[in-house]
Formats: sequence, C-alpha cells, structure tokens
Amino acid sequence: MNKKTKKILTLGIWKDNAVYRQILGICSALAVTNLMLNSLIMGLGLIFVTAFSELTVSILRKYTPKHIRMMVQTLIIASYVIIVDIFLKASFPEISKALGPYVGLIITNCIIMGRCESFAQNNTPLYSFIDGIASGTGYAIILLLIAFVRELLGFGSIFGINVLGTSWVSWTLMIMPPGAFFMLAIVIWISRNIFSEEDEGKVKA
Amino acid sequence: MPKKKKVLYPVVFMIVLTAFFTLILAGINELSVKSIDKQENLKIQSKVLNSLGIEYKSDEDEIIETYREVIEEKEIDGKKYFIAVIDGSILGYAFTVEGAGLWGRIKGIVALDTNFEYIKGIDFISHSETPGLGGRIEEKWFIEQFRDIELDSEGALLIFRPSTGGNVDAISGATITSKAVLKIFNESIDEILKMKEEII
Repeated sequence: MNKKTKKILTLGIWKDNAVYRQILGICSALAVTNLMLNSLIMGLGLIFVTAFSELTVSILRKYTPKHIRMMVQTLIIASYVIIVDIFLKASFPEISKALGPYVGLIITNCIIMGRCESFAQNNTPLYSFIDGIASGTGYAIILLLIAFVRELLGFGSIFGINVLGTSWVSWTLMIMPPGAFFMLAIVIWISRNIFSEEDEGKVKA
Repeated sequence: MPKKKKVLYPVVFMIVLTAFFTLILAGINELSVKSIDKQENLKIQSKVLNSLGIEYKSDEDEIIETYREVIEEKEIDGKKYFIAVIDGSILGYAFTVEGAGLWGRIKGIVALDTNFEYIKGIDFISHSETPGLGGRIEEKWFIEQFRDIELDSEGALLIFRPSTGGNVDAISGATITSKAVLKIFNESIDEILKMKEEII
C-alpha cells in the first residue's frame, strides 16, 4: 500500500469521515439505523455506488465538458443506484422492503456527489475508486455503530440475535426516530472532542 | 467554429452516455424482472396459504407447487379472492383486505371457513408501521391469535382483551396500529359477509 492510498483511506474512514466530520448523508444515517442488518446493507450499497460512481466519473473526467459535469455525475450515480435497487429486490426482497425508499434515495446522498465533485474530477480512476471505498466504509462504520447501540438498547439484540435475554426491557425510544437523533448527536459530539480545536482550524483553512 | 463545437459536443456526449447507461439498466432489468415477480408472488402465495392454515415447506418451489395444487383464484366485483380446495372439497376462502394504519396502508389477508362461520386465520402482506412497535403485527404470536375466531350473526367481532367478549390481545406501545388492524379486519369481514350468497 503506497502513501497516497494510505492517506485516502485514513481521511475517508477516520479524519474526514463523511458522517461526523462533514455531516453528510445524515438523512439515511437517521432513517435506517434501527437494525444492524439494514445498516450493513445500506453501507455496502453506498460503498458500491460511491466506488463505481467515482471510478466512472474519473474515467470520463477528461472527456466531460466542465459545464455539464453535474448532469453527467447524476446520471452515473443514478444508474448504479438503480442497479443496487434491482439487485436487492431480486435477491433480498425482505431487506429491500425494510429499507424502503432509502435505497433509491442513495442517489441524493451528498457523500457520493461530494466525492465525485471534489475527488474524482481531479484524480486518476484507481485512486478515485479507493476513495469511494474509503468514504463509503467511513459511512458504513458510523451507521453500524449507531445501529449497534440502537438495536441493542431498543430490541436487546444484535443482528437479530437476542443477547440481553428476555428480562431486558426494551428502550422503545431508541428504535423510534428520536433515538437516531440522540445517537448521531452523541457521535458528532465525541468526534468534536477527539479532533481538537486546532485541527478544526486546519481543516477549515 | 470552436463555438459551434462547444454546443454540439456536450449534447452528443450526454446523449451517448445516457443511451449507454439506459441500455445497461434495461438489460439488467430484463434479466431480473422474472425473479422479482417470482419473489413478490411467492410472498403473497405463502401468506394466503398461512392464513388458511395450510402447511407448506419453506422451500420456494414447494410453496409454488402447493399453491398451484390447492388454491384457486377468483374475482368478485373486481376484487380477487382465493378458494382452497383439498381432495375435491372446499377448505376455506381467503380475501385480501386493506386499510389505513398509523404511517401508511396495511394490506392483509383474512381466511374464512366454508360457511363463513369463523375466521380461519389472517396474515399481513405489507405495512409501514413503526419497526419494533406496530411492526410487531407481523410476528407469529399476533397472527396466530386470530385462528378459529367465531363470527356471530352480526358479523365479525374482533375485540381486544380485557373488554368483555375480547378475543385478541393488542400490542402494548402500538395502540393506534392495534386499533387500525382490528378496524380493517372487522370492516372487511362485514363487507365479505354481504357477498356471502354470491361466493358460496
């Protein structure tokens, strides 16, 4: 693994994490995190779409006229999202139903558009692909983290397997929308403390 | 000359790209449309069988096979219903029901016996209730309590315990969903009973 790959990975997954650092992809992070399985599938879907969208945008970047690049990016992203949607419907109908409209809404996930525009436009296909995987993984990890707490406290289970026993009284609040807001806020709060004020200044500059 | 090129090139570029992606997506769609259809049918078929209390194996092909052998689909007033026939004698009738839940429409199935005297069972096809709360209507314990509930002459009377004459339990924490479910089934069964003469 060379230096640049390493940098892309640490930035995407940790330092510049899309969810808690850039506050992108929040809608879906709130919506699908009541079960770990849903979060996992959503995360994998996003990794796939981001990686291949960035790859395609990067391959086409030299031929794409600058003023229509957004249109091109949207077209590319939408195509991959539809592929994911069809795949889920055909192979995992239950999960497809549970995720509902949120698979289709990956199209509007700011992470993908953001990475295509800021990274894939200026980098080679290979690095763009890696960046897509890094950003997607960063998103998936945070989703799983939030879902872990929500499912554990809300259902007493992890990936549908009961771990807290029958005597556990479920925290209904955690599986309802407010639970997602609390969890996400806590994650962002912690990350703010980990990355000191000084870092903050650098990132902004 | 360069100016003209700037207008033409983006248009051609976009058309080519769109055509390319559309072609790919159309291809993928064509390849998977059958299996999506099969999955959706399979879901309804297994629910129809379950509501009628007919046992089936979880294997996909077995469900389709059992369904084809036992169930006959018919229509009345544009509404589809299902007749279960085993060894030449009618086992029961199943009807689709629909109504408003808490967040969206709840679609389900109710099965009645041959004389429309009691409910053989129910099941849910789709709903968008809160996961973990109203969503628990999908759970087995909830569905199973609707087995063999007698209808009186006035029609269907599903009542929550502990009210007098109560026959099913509500889900705690999901009052609106529970009430909605009962309302949907009670009203639908009333409708079905009105068509009794035409069906039997």
